[in-house]
Amino acid sequence: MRRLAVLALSLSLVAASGCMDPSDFPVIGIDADGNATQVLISENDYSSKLTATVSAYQDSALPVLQKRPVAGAAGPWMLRTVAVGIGINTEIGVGDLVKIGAAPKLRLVFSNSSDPVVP
Amino acid sequence: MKKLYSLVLILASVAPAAFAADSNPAQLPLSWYRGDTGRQTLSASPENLDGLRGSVDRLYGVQSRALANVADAPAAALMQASAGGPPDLVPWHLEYITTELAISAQGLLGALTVKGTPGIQLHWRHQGNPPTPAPVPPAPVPQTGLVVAGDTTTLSDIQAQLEPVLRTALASGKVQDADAMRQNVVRAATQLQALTQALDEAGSRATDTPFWVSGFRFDFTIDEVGHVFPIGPKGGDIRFRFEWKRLKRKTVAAGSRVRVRGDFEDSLIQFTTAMQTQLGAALAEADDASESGFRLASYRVGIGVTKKGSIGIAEGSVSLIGNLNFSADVKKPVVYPSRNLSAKEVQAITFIPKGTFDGYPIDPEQLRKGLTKAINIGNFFARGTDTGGDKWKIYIMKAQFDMTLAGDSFLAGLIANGTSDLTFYNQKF
Repeated sequence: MRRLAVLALSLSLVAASGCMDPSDFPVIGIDADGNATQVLISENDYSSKLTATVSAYQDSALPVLQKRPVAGAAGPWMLRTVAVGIGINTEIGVGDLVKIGAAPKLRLVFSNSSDPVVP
Repeated sequence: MKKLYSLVLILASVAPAAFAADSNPAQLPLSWYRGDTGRQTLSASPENLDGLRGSVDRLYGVQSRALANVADAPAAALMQASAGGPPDLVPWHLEYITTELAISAQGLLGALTVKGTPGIQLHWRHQGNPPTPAPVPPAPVPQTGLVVAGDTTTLSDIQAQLEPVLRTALASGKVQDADAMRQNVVRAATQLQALTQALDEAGSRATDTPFWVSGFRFDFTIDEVGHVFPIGPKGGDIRFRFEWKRLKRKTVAAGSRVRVRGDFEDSLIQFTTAMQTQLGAALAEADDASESGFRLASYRVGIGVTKKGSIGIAEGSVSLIGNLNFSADVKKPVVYPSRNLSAKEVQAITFIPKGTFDGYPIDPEQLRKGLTKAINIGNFFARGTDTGGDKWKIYIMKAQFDMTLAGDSFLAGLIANGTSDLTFYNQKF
C-alpha cells in the first residue's frame, strides 16, 4: 500500500511538472509528424539567448555591411535592406523539445536608410 | 487501510486536475482560433481572459526586457555613410526586430519556432528622444515599383517597362513561345489600369467609412507556351507579382466611370465597397481599445474569383489569387531620429484571372460580425504601453486571421494560411 501511495504521489508530481511554471516560456512548433505542439523552455534561458543572439548578429553584421560600397562604386544596384531570419538555440532537452527544434523564431532587419520599408 | 487507499486514489486523480486548472493560462477561447463555433464575445469568459491577459503581458515583457539588454551598436560599426548616395542614406543599423507568436491546434499561445504561420507578429523598433531642432523637410523618394502604371500610362510605356522582366523570363529557357508570353503579359498589364480605376471608384462610393482601398496584389505564373495563370497553391517556375499601392485616399468625381469596365470590374467594385462599409461598421461596433495606444490601421484580405467571374473572400490557399488592402487614416508612429515620408504612389500591374473556385455570397451582417470579432481579438493583443522596455518598443502589431466562407474570422493557427490580417499602429510609440 505504501508503494501505491508513493506511486500516486509520483504521478501527481509528474503531472504537475508538465504544467506551466512562472519560469517557463511557451514555445509552439511543428513536430516531426506535422502536428502543432507546445513545449515549455526556461524563461531565463530564452531571455538571455534572445539578448545574446541579437547582440551577436548586430555586432557581426554591421561592420561587414559598412564595408560595402554605395551605389556607383559597386554597380547599378545598391544594397539597402538586409533581413535575417534566425532561430534562438535553447538548451535542448528530450521529447517534444527535440521534435519541434526548440528554436524560437526571430527576424532582424538591418537598413542604411532613414526611410526604411517597414511591414 | 481503506481510507488510505481512498486518499491515494483521490490524490492521484485530483492533483493533476488541480494543476491543470491553472496549467494553461495561455489558452485562447475556442471561438478565437476555430471558425463557426459561435460568436463568443471577449467578455464571455473573463476568467479565461484574465489568465490569457497575464500570459500575453508576460510574453511581451520577457521579449521587451531581453531586447532592452541588447547593447547599442559599437561606434566603429556605425561609420558615416559615404557622400554621393541617395538622400536617405545613413549608416547601417538594426532597424527593427520581428518576433512572432503562434497558436497551436489546441488554442495554446507561445513563441513561434522556425516553421509555421504566426498568429501574432510584433515589430519592435528602437525609439530615441524627440529632436529639439525643427523637423527635417520631407526628402523626395524615388518610385520603386517594378512596373509603374498610372492613369495616363500608354501601352508602349507598359511594354517598355515590362521588356527587361520578359527577357529575364525568356532567358530561363522555360518559356518557348516568346511572342505569346509578351502578348499575354502586356494584355494583363493593360487590364490593371481598368482594375485600379475600378478600385478608385469603389473607394469613392463608400464615403461613410474610414477605410479606403490602399493596395491590390496579384501573383501569377507563366507556362511554357506563354499562358498566364493565377499562381495558385502549387506555384510555378516563373512567377510575377503585380502590386498596386496607394498611400492616400483618392476621391473620384461623382458620375465618372472607368474607361474599360466589365463584369470583373463591377464585381470588384461591389466587393470592395461592401468590405469598406462592413469594416467601418465593425470598427464602430468593436470594443474601445484606445487605452492600449494601438489603433487599427489596415486590413488585408485574400480574395478569389468564382467560376462566374465574381470576387469573393478566399478560404485557404487553394482559392487565393490575390490580396486586397484597406487602410484607415491612422497616424503612423514617429521614430526618432527619422525623416518624414514623402507622399509616394507606387503602382504596378495585374490581370484579370480565370475563375478558380466556387464562391459564395457572404451575408454582410455575418461578415461584419466576423470583422468585429477579429478587431476585438486584435485589440486584445495590441499592447503598447506596458511591455517594460524603454528602448525597443512595439511599433506595429499584426494579427493574422483566416476566414470562413460564412464570414467568420479566427486567428490563424500554426498550420494555416493567414489569408487576412489586421495591422495596428502604436499611437503611444
